[in-house]
Amino acid sequence: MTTTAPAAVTAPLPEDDEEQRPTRKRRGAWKDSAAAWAMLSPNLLVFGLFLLLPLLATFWLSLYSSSGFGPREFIGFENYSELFGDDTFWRATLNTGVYALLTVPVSLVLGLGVALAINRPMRGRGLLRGIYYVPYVISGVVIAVAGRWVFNENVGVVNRLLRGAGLDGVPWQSDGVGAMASLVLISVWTKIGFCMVVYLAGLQSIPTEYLEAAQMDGAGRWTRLRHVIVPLLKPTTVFLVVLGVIESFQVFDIVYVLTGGGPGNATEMLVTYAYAEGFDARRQGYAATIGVVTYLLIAVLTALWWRRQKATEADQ
Amino acid sequence: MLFPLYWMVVTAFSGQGSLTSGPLRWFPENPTLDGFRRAFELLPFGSFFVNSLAIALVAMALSVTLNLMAGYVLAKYRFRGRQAVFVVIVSTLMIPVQVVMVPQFQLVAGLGWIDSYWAVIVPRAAEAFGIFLCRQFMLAIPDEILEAARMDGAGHLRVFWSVVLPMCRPLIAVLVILTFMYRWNEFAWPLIVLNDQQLFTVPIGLAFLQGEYGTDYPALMGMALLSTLPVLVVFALFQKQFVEGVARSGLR
Amino acid sequence: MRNPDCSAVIDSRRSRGFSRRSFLAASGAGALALAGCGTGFELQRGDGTASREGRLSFTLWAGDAELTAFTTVAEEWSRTSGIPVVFNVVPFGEALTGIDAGLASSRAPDLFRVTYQDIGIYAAGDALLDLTDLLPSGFVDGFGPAFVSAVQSEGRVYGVPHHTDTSLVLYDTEALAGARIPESLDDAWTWEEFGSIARSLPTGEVQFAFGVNWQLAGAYRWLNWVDQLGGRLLTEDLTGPAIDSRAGRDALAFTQSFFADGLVPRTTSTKGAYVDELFTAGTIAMVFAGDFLLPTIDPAFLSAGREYGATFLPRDERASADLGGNAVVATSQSKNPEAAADFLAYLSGDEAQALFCAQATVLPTRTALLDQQLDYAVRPDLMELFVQQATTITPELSAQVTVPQFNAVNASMVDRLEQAFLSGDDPAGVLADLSDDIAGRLS
Repeated sequence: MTTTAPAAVTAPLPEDDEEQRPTRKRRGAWKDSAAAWAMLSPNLLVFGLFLLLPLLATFWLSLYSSSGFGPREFIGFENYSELFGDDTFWRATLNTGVYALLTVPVSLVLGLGVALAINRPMRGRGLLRGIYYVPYVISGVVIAVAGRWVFNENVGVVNRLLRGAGLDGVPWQSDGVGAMASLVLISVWTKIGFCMVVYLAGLQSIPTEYLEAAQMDGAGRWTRLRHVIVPLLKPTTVFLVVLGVIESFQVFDIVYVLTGGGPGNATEMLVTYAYAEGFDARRQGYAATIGVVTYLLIAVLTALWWRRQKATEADQ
Repeated sequence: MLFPLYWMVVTAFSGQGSLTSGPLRWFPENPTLDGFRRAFELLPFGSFFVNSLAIALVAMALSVTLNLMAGYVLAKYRFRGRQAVFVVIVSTLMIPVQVVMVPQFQLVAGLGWIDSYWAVIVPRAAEAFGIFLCRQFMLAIPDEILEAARMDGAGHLRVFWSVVLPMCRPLIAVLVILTFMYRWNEFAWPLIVLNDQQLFTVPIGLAFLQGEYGTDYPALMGMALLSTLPVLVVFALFQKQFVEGVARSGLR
Repeated sequence: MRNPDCSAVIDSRRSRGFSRRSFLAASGAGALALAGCGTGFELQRGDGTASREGRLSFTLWAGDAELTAFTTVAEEWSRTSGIPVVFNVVPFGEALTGIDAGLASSRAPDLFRVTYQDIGIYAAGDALLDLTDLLPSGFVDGFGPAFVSAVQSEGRVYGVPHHTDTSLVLYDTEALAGARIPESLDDAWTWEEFGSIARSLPTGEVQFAFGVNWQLAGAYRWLNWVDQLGGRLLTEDLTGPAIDSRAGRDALAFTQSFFADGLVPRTTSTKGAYVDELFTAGTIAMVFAGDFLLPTIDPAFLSAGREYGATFLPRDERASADLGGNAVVATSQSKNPEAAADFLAYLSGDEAQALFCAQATVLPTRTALLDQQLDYAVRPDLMELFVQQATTITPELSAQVTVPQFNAVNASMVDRLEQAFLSGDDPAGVLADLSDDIAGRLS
């Protein structure tokens, strides 16, 4: 890759984050384009070749009717018009949103709760930490297989326990809400431990003076949590939210194996829908269209979040 | 919360068939290692572990190196096109792999990489989240330090290597832990680009332990638990730094 | 350079067991020659699975018994032809994804195993080798007519019908002790009789009368009921939907009652879970099941000390059965078209087919084998009934479920039938929706 950018860029870049803070002068910023591009190039090469190029190819494919092999037919934006009238697609979009909105906050809140509970010196804390981290690193395929068995409506452990306690079993597979609940429960279970480990770390980096000072002021536990601990943990929280949202959008193995998107379309996600259209129904062109629109939706979301992130940065 | 995990352990040490029938048991009736034995008999899991380890380690090293460099440039250099590059990278932050799987496969096949570790390692080496995290972290590095190093006549790479990297230990820990875990558990992509059993990774092996009819649960759970060990080791090694890295990731 | 004979061999949906022995047998070299196989860091062009000159690569899913049978046949053929056959075994769920990716990037194998429902899309996509002039003349006439139409597209032959399987009703002997068990195709249960027997069985929260096998790719099996009433999914010329008919509505209304009345678990709808484990666990008293499941079901019943039997599918105006089983096809990218065709002819010839069917408990497609007693490895007494049931597979139904777009149609059936079964939507409305989908997907 060659670039013809001049060696020095004198005009300030309008949208530079640092530029909005006139109080600090950017003395240390190097204006050596050549070196910059040279150091960027390995990354850009891989990024461009293996992500951007396939992304462009996906867009190109979305203009065709294609089974993935054999002849394909150019159909312009027909796939897109079909997509906008496709109830399943909108349902999948909604499901993906619902899944993320349930999984991320619940796992964060519970993770923080557990972290607060065990944030005191006790025996075997290190071991406990390790154990809590295990669910997060078990292969998704296995989690889903185990989940299918644990949540089986008829013979699964969960319903057997419920019935043993004299309650009704939950329709984990035959009811849309139940199926979504089983997905969220399993996903939350895999993430709690990780959130807890990260929060525990955050808690231990809070200087004790802060909490002691708050206690002197007569602040109760709840007030301390709300006004001291939570604000101080904000970077940790944002990190976990970003990671959690990314993982929610990419969830595939668990849904594919556990519910297959059913019952009906109750748990169909954007990714599983694209996969099913592309590889089961062999409508690669349409699957590509789902991919492109998904990408655009995600890009818009990311942009909105990024603007907020920069605004808060500027406030600091 | 811990019950499912405990239950997986119980399953791993149970005999086949004692699970789906009869009353619930809190302990395996006759604890046995048969599940593990069967898994190793069915498939060469030993070499799957070696493969997974090789792929995860190389991918991690490559990925961390590339992302650190890119993050550094995007945080500390000013040049025409910087914003554009960053925006494009961030726009792909949450893109699911399945969206670009087919064109990616064609590309890898065109390069003649099918059935080689490179097919698994390289396409995922540059990741938006990694680059993004690096940039955010490095924005906090004071310019004065870089400036001083420059005054002493250090070149670009020199500054990066001896000044920036030592300050980035916590960040590297975050990247190492996340990359290693993701690569170790990757399933859909390796399954498609690796056709040769010699090269299979552990998750592929796990998928083969569950036939669609009659899954061998003890073997599957046993191997699944065993396969988390390397990730836990990596986590244990980098845990302290990881914590600091998250706290200083510059995300607000 | 890597040893070209390294091949992947794995367990699949067809078996729970998979022995190191069969892995070694299939790995060509006969040993895990790590040194010969090199490491993944060696960049080499040409891999272990794409078509290459001087050998045949064969991608398939296979259980233990099947793989042993395949290997035996292949070794026999290699002895005379001098050409090695390299197997690449993949799990059923991912098999075609890998094939599609291979075709899209010119790395397809010489041969692959495929369901009859999936042949159409490959043939229409020019992905398959036209075998019409490559197979020995008259060879194709040795298969049952339903199977010939299943591997043909526009009058050309694109594969060999390797074997077939079909469903019967398996029942728990104890649970059905008081019921009349039909002993011939002609006195099979009528719908009413089947319904009343099912309703007489105890049901509870974890106890159901029976289970159906219409999940996912098996959704097409539901069409048996429509076929029994003389109804059709597609028009005579196979270009449009014909399901929104009286026969379609009656069949749907009847099968909906299975779910509405709690005769089958609600978890086993078209997007639900497979039913065979529920049968072995005793959750359901009867199950619609394919013959290939016997090797899984039989040991489970034996170890639990229970007994089971099999009887014919219910019938109405006529008997009908589902066209299961697989064909084997060669790809148009094959660099060894003559050798591929020669191997296919051998593989699906009388002798090799008899051996395969006996070992893997599936049914033959060669008419010459229909009158022979094959030496089935599991429950030969029941296999006899499966053979009889297979004679009711109608060419009309076979033609409908093997149109090129059938997998897209099937995917739509999975969605729409799910609505009917779980939400209890009105049959007419569901079939109207399904018709719209079909019309869109056939065009």
